[in-house]
Amino acid sequence: MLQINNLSMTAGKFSIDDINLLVPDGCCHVLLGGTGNGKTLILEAIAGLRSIKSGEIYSDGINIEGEFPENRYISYVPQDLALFPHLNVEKNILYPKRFKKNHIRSDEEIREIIKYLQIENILHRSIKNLSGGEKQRVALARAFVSGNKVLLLDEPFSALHFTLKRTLWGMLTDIQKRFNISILMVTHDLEEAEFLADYVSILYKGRIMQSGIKEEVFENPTQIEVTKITGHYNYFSGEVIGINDDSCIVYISSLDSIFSVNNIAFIKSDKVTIAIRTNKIKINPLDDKIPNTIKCKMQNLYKTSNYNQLALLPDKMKGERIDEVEEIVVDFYDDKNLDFEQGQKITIHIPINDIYVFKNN
Amino acid sequence: MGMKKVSITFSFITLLFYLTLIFSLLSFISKDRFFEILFSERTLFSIKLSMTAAFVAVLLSFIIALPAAYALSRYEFFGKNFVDLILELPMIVSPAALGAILLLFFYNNLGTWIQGNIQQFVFTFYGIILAQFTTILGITIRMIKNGFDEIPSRYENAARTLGASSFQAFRSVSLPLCRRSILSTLIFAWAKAVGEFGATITLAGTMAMRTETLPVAIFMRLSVADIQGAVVLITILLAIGLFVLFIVRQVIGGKSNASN
Repeated sequence: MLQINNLSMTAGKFSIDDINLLVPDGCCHVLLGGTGNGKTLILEAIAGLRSIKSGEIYSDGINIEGEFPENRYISYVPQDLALFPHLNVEKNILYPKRFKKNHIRSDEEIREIIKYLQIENILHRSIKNLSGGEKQRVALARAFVSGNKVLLLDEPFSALHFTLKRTLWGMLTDIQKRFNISILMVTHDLEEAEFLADYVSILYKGRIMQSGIKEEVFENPTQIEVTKITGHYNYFSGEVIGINDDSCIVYISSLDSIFSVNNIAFIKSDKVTIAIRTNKIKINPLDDKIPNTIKCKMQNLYKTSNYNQLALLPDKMKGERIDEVEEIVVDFYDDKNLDFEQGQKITIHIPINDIYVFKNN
Repeated sequence: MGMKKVSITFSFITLLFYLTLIFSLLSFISKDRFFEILFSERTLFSIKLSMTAAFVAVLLSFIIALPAAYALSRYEFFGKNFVDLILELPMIVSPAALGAILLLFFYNNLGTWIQGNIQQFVFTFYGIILAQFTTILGITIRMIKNGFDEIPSRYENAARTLGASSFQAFRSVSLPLCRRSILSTLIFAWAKAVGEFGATITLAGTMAMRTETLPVAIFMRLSVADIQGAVVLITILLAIGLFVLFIVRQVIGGKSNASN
């Protein structure tokens, strides 16, 4: 188990503030955030490669802050993998055996790791002659051979093709469960987080905005910054114009439309931003008189291998020029609506529970 | 004529300039006389003395340069910039001045005590080693530091998280990755030490069969108009220099491990 309490540090002008993280035994906690938000700094601090200003780092209940990296028993796979170019694959994998007597895996376990990661056939190859995917597997194998119970991964699959990524995600999960390893992984890849994570923390400008069980964080973002990292959303600025018992009415001036949203703690005249996930919008509902229904015209249709995306312009839009108009983007996965034509009228409906409202600062 | 032809012409002019100087030596000596001087006791002594002193000087400078270069490459510490600056001293001060600094040092209180109680340096074999050591130490540190600079610290960091102590990470990762750079530096420093003249003659003097290194021997023979003797010794120095350059190029011929 890895536990981080109130970790703060600085790197030049950038600061990491009050980070709290928990990675239970055998679980994967993904630190999700964009580039330049301090993800790598946090991993390096936990690995002992950077000094911190304050905070505590516990591994299996022991405070390891202040220990040298080699005494923390935490493996770290950096983004560039740092495979030793002067050693072949086998020597890279067995490198930890040179130093650790207590935690090292048995020969049988090492053979198992090599088999899991399918690197039996490249053991005698030079690191320089490996493909990207092979290098990833060798780096993971080396980390697992160290026998450490905690593994830190810094965007290890970022440079790989999607299909290869999925294969490696599966391998990583299998081997993690087999050896009951706690993984703290940083990534900006939403799909990777959805696949691998048990727990997710959203990092933004050196602070954790939201942390919890994966589904909870993805389904119930508590801050607008979280929505920007955990999915694709449409954002509209508006004002609260009416309050009901458990909902309130928000007027969105750019759409000249009103939305009924769940009321958390708003009062009349509050300036708010509503966020609507692109894949939660229903196209052409049977009843177009229900609340939160907008009539639009189709502007563009984009097709990808995974999903289709519609760009819609609301009928009651304000503004004369096209760049003043806010498009509504809708993701959909079925093919039955693919015969849309530009300018065609489309009605959309957003269920009240799929509208997230955030008070403007 | 295009830029390509002009620039290539100038590179060949450079080659022609040096080859003319080298081949002009041949007109001063016959084949029989060349081998007679080459295998004379005095010449062989000079070769042996130069090579031995250079070997010891390189060994001593390596012992200091390796950790110093590593510290300069990897760590931030108080006075680092000044240490880094002082490495250029042997390059900006003329070798004769460097020798004079050494000579004068041995006439102050500390230097006199060292000469009297530890080792006599002035006008001795040890003076040659010290003069060569002083000349090559800075460049040795600078070149090895450059080698370490090319090895990203991420390899050592990875080694540390895999259980290696800082010294074990240095020994098992940085040192092997830097070996080509270190080896070529040592060979280069040895050749520079063999050819060292100014500091050596100032500190160790010009005593035949005692402190007569190859460059000093050339000077001594020219000073008594022994042109043929000087030409033979110059040829030996040239041969050593070219051989070393060839070896260095072979050593660093491939890309370093870390850059792949």
